[in-house]
Amino acid sequence: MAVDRVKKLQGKEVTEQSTEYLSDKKKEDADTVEKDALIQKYVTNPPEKPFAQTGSSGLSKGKIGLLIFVVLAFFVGTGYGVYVMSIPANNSSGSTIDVNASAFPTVNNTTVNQTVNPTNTTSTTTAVTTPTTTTTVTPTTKTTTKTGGTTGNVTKKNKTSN
Amino acid sequence: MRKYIVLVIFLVCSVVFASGCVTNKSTNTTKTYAQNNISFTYPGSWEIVNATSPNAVVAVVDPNSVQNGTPTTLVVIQKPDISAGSDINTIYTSNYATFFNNTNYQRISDGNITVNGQSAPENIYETNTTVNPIQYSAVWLNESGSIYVILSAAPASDFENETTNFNLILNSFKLQ
Repeated sequence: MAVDRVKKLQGKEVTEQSTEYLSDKKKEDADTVEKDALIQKYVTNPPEKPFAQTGSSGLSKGKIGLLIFVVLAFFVGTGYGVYVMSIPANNSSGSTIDVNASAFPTVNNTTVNQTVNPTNTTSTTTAVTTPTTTTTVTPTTKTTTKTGGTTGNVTKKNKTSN
Repeated sequence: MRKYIVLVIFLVCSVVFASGCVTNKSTNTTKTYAQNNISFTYPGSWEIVNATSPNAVVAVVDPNSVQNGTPTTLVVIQKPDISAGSDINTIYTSNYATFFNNTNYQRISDGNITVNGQSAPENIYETNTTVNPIQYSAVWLNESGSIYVILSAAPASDFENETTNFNLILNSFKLQ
């Protein structure tokens, strides 16, 4: 329109193109309005998802819960594994533990004194060897006093009379 | 980003599952004792300790069974002081003819077992207590004319569970 006015002021003829141009432009505007009307009528945008909520935290509640569960499971699992493992006892060193269990009978360390006549008795101590037919097992560390028939050191009182 | 999260979760799950498979490998390992002219294999978690028993050669115990300084699961190897070539059955019979005069023990069974293809007398007994009785198994072995007694002990309630460990020692026992 401004161009037409300038041309009129200059005394030039206004071509009919401008009117055609205007009519074309009106058509285009009408088409645009029609297209917009059709778009608004038939094209529907998908409902907006709560995108902003997930985008802000980065992880959903489910994922966070799963992550916490896995971490807890890790510590519970490793803790249970350590618990199941037999941890060596503090007093596992051999120097502090003594074992005195034995498959042999315990021998009482007793002394038998046979005195018939104290005034006429002399006492001597002899080591009596083990009879070959004797099979009694006696620890060597123990001392027993019997009147024969067993191994070990035997103290025997010999009686002498005048 | 999503791929990294999945990867991290996968790795953590792998670690968790692996930790659930953790076991005490030492229970499967063994140690070997080779001194005093004898050798045998014993569980890797057991320890050699000081043996104060008469004629004891060596003692091994399960450290986890120690209560108040006294082990309840143990094996003691004793060598009676007898002349070489003595009849093992005669000595065995004579030993247990007097052993149970001690009323602290009561006999459970008496018989023979086979150890490395050889018959060996075995006497099983336990302490005469109502609370936590200890069960014993004494196996008498004749090794090249020398007699060795392998005495195994454990709480009566746990004795069967320790049979594998006892047999490990018994079956591997030999003279060097």
